[in-house]
Order: sequence, then C-alpha cells, then structure tokens
Amino acid sequence: MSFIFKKFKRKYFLIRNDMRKIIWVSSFLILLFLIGSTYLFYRAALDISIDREIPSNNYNSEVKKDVIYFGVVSRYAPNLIYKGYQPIMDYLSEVTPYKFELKLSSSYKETIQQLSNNQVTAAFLGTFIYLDAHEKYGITCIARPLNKNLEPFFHSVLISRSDSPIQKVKDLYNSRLALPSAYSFSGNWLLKSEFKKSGMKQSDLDSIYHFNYHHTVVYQVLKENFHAGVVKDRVAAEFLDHGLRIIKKSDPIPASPIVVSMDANPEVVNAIRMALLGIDVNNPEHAKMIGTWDKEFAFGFQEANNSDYDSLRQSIKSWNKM
Amino acid sequence: MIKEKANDFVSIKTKIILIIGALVTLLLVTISLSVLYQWRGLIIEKLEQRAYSVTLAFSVSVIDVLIYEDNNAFSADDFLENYIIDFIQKDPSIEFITIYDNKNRIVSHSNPDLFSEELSNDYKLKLEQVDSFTPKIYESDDYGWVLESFLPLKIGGKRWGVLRIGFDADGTREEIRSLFIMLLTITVIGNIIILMVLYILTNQLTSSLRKLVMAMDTVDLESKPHMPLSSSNDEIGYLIYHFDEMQKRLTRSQKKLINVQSQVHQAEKLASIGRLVSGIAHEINNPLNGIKSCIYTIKKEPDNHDQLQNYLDLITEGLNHIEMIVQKLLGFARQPSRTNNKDNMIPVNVNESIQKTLALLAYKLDKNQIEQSLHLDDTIPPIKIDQNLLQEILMNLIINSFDALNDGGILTITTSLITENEIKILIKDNGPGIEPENLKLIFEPFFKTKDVGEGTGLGLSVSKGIVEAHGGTLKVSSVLGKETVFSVCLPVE
Repeated sequence: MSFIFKKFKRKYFLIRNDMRKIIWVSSFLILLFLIGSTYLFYRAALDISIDREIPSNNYNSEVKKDVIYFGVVSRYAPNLIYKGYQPIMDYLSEVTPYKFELKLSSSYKETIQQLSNNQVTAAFLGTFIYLDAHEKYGITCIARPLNKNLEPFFHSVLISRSDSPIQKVKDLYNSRLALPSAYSFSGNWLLKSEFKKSGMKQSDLDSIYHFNYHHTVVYQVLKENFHAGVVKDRVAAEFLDHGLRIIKKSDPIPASPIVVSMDANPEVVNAIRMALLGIDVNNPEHAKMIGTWDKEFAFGFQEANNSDYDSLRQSIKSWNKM
Repeated sequence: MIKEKANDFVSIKTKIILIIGALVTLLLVTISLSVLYQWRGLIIEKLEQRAYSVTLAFSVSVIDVLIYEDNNAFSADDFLENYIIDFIQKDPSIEFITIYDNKNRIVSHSNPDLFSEELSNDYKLKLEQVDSFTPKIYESDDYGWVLESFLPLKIGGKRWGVLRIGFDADGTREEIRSLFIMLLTITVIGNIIILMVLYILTNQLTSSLRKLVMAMDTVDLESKPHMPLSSSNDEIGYLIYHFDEMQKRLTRSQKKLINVQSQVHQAEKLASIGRLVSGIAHEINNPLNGIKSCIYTIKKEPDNHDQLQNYLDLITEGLNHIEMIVQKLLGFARQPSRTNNKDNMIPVNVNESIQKTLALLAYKLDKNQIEQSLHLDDTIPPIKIDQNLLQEILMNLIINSFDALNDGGILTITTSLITENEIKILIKDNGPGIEPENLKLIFEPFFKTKDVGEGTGLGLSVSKGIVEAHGGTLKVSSVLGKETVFSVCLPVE
C-alpha cells in the first residue's frame, strides 16, 4: 500500500513539475467533460415531455338547478349560435335560480311548436313570426333588444354590390333576389311593400330564393350569385366596407322579441325579464359581458309589450290592402 | 532551438490557444445552446400550435354534432365515428382521437377496442378539470412519443365533454435531433477552424519571437556584426528593428569601453612603473649613497688599510643589499614561470611548513612578545606545491603580521579544509589594521606603508603572484584598530 502511495506521489510530483503534462491532462479532462456535457444536453434536448398542471375546475360539482330551455332558431351553424347565445344562458343561469339551456330549432315554426308544447319556456323569435305566434298560441313578448341608438327597432334594407348598376327598386327588373326566411319581416317587406309602391310584381324578377341566415344573403350578393338581397340593417352594416351598398331602407320595425310560452311559470318569466332588463350598457362589466353575446343583443334590452308591435300589425294590414 | 528556462515553461502560443480557444469554445457552445433551446422551444411550440389548431378545428364539428344530438336532430353515433375515421385518414400524424362526455364515458374512439376502456379515478379527475387546451407530451408504449391534446367541448358555460387527440411527436424529436447534430457539427467545425487560424497566427507570432530570442542568445559584441533579422510590418517588426538598433549601440559602447579600459590599463601600468621606479630608486639610493661616501672616504685616505677594509665591507654590504633588491625584482618578474617547474611540485604538509616557518621566526616573535595561537587542522591533506614557495608565502605573510604587531600582540594561524580539493590558511593579527584606501593597493608591487629602507614592498605582491599561479586566491580583510586577516586558499592538486 505504502509502495503504491509512494509511486503515486512520485508520479504526482513529476506531473506537477511539468506544465505541459498538466495542460495535456487538463485538455483531455476538458474534452471528456465536453463529450459528457454534449451527451447530457442531447438527452435533455430530446426529452420533450410536457405535463402541465390543470387548474382545479370540476364541472360535475356544480350546484343542481331546475333547467329552463330557451328556444332559438339555428340561423347560423350550431356552434356559432351557441357562441352568440350560450353566454346569455350563462348570464341568466348566474343571476337567476335556474339553469338555462339552449334548444335549437331549424325554423321559427319549430320554435313556436316547442313553445306551444312547453318543450321550451322562452325563445328568441323574429318580429314577423311573433305576430302570428301571439295570435295563434298566446306567446307573449317580455323584452326586446336595443339597437346602437338604444332604440328598440331595426330596419330591413335592400342591398346590392357597390359596383352594381341597381340604384333603386325599379332597377330590380329581371334580377335575381336573395331573401332571408319567408317568416321574417325582411323576407316579406320588399315584395309586399316596396314592390307594390314601385309598381312591380314578383314575376318581374328573374328569381327569388330564401336563405336561412341573413349573413348568407349578404354573401350570395357579394359573390354575385344574386343581384340584390334584403337583410337587417345591423347585418348589412358589417359589410359596407366590403363592397356592399344599401339601396333602400324600411321604416323602423319593432325589434325581434324574447318571448315566453303561454304556460310559462310567472316566476321564471319574471326572473328572465328582470335579468335582461337589469343589464346596464353603461356598466363596464355588463358592457364587456354583452360584448361576447350575439350582436343582436349588444346594446341591452327594453321591456316589450304586445302593443309595441301594433304599428307593425298595421303596416302588414296595409300591405294586404295594396 | 531555444532551451526552455524551466520545466514550467508554457509558450505564448499554448497560452493564447488555450485561453482564446477556451473562450471561443465557450462562446460557440453558449450560442449553439441558446439557438438549440430557442429552436427546440419553437419546434415544440409549433407542434403544440398545430395540435391546438387541429383539435380546435375538429372540436367544432364534434360540438355541432353534439348540439344536433342535444336537439334530437340525429344521433351523434351516426356521425362521430365517421368524422374520426375520416379525420385520421386525412392526417396521418394523428395517432388516436377520443371523445368523452361529461361523465367521462367514451362517446367515441378511433380504436373500437377501447370503447369500453375503464379510466382511472385520477384520469377522470383530470378530464373533469380540463378547462382549456391542455397538451401533454410523453413516451407511450403503443405510439412512441406522442402529444396528447385535451380540449373541453364547450361553448360559454355549456360543456359536452372533452376531446382528446394524440399526435405523433417522434417527428418533432427527429427535427430536434437533426437540429442538435447540425449545431454540434457547426460548433465543432467552427471551433476547429478558429483554433487552426489561431494556431497559424500564434505560430507566426512566436516563430518571429523565437528567432529574435535566438538572435539575442547568440549576440557577441566582440565578434563580427550579426546578420540582420528578417523584419515584418507589425509589432514584432518594430521589436526586431529596435533590437538591431540596440545591438548597434551596444557594439559602439563596447568599443568605447575597450578603448577606455585600455587607457586605464595603460595609466595603471605607468603608475605601477612609477611606484616600482620610485621604490627601486629609494632602495638603491641609500646603499649607493653609502657606497659613494665610502669611496669618497677611501679616496681621501687610500693608505689607511683598516679603514679601507672597514669601508670595503660596508660597500660589499651595500652592494649585497642592491643585489638582493635586484634578485627580488627578478623573482617578481619571473614568478609565473616558477610554477612551470613540475619537478618541484611535491605533496607538502601545510601544517609542517607553518611550524617550520614559525621556528625560523621564533626569536623575532619572542623578542617582540608576540603570542602565537595555532589552530591547525590535522585532517587537511598535503597539497602539491613547491615547498620553498609555500614557505616564502608564509614568511611574507607572517612578517607582514609581525611588522603590524610591533608592540606585541597575538598572531593567530588557522588551517582548514574548505572542500575535498581546497584548503584554507588564515593568518590573523590583532594589530592596528589597514586603512581602507590602502587595502586596494596592498598587493601592488613596491607598495608599502613602512619607512624607506624597511622592506621592499614586494612581499605581498610576490606572494599573491605565487598563490594565483598555483590556482589559489590570496585575500585580505581588515578592521581598523582591531585586526587584519590574510586568507590563502590553495587547491590540493
């Protein structure tokens, strides 16, 4: 043992006295270190495993509430409808003792059917169809959305491409016309009111087609599949900077109401009404919240009564007399 | 080649290569690692982004189907399986797709064998907690490296379940591996190139320096002028230029120095001749005056035989004195040649020679009450020397001490062995000492501090000549008022 130690000691001192040996040994050790480090870095670089912590959020532990179904016509793709309307359901669920869920339908008629069958307690309904539904099924309006001027109205507008030669209603001769649902005000206004005022007939057109959604009408006109179309002013406004032009505008029309079925629980109805009317657009939190809702409801609500739609009833009657 | 000064010599080249090489390596490695981890992050992020986009896009269709099912439009089972199969066929990087409902049941799976898969409670909890896109990358036994993306199927507060899609992540690892190898190659090649350039540059630098050092090493100002070094247009060039200039200046200074030394030597020679002549004149003048006086007296009374005999004796004594001076002078002049007589060089016991010399001077020493103190080392070996010359040296040095101890004192003689081949003899007196200015001149011929007529001034000079002729040294040291020590070192052989 002592011999080995002495031998080692002698060697050690020999090395110590020779700087060159030290440099070579150091270089070799550094090289070994670099090779080892490179391998470790290689291993570390190739270890791409990720397992992030998920914040605790248990959906199955939510408080159970009575479910109230809210009917809405699937005017867009279902997930788009949910994006616009589910936040309203979330808001109502939050501020009322009920849990609100959407019930989609493919048409206004189906929604009215759901209301009359009590499949849904409340629904978003079009103005035009409401008049008929109220008369036939006792469906009642409780609130209506405000426009950007905070008025409970909207306008139907006749649109064409900006570069279209169509400047007025009479220019629509032999043209193809795109319209929204035949059960909506916009789907009837032009043909039943403005055509008659201009002395035109439906047969003067090349063709008429009804689409489910207002946005579809706009796209069809912009794509030049149709020469003109009729949509709500709010929808047309979104495309004015994209080659769309408004040719004709209707008189103010009472906004599409939120309705309840005839047999709806008054407490539920009242809860819905109070929640919607309680929205204050001047409140930043509310403004932020309704900013995520369907644009139809971006400016809050006003209480709605059946009499608010009497003017429209008169107008429709006047169309029939024309 | 230049001989390195010590074992720990490390050349500038090695230092520069080691230090700059290490720094460059460190820099390149740092840059490569930064780039690697930046790009690696981007590659993984790209995978995650892609997984997010694909999962989100697929979730739209799934949500639509689930909404339709909620509204009793149709059964999800009719569509989801087809969607999944179609989706996987379109994107081969997708390993599997699973759709869970809110109760963590499998609504649909790309692998029908797993429809009834039982989930662990932890996994169920994880599914329940998924609130946004959550990726997880791991190595699976079935799929290899896989990115598993979880996305809640929800809009607002409405939640239908969780969509889980597994993406192949082996490709991503392969991308990172390629990146690593590319960066490693660039780093290694870059490093090698930089070190090679560094080596070449430092080699040029140090070779110029080495040439300069070699030139400095061979500089001999007395020999013919050196060959000028090849110069360069950098600092080394300036150094060589200034070295050349310095060498020229040194050569000029050397010539001047030799001239001055020659002049000094000549002056010393003249001074020495002056002292010699002066000494001879003094020494010869006295007996000559006596002889002259005797001859004058004899001329006056040539018939006075008694007086004539008496004066002839005086003349003879005077002439003997002059002869002695002349002989000593001749001895001084001839002293180096004395050592050439190898026949006289026999081993001599120094201690015995000292004893004999003291015996010759015993009467004088006793008369002047000079105490002798001998410290003779019996172990010193005999030295090879002419015994008579050794006695002459000892005699001269002892008489010098005797003269210094006129009023009595202690004469100390010590012998010792310095090395195996050298002995030392110390002759010390506690006399008045020698003035410092006289110490420098004490070995000069005819230099003496005694009165005129006393001594010749040649004893110490002759002794020094003999000692040095035998390869030894004779030195003196003195403390004024205390002592004077003569130290004789002689080689044994």
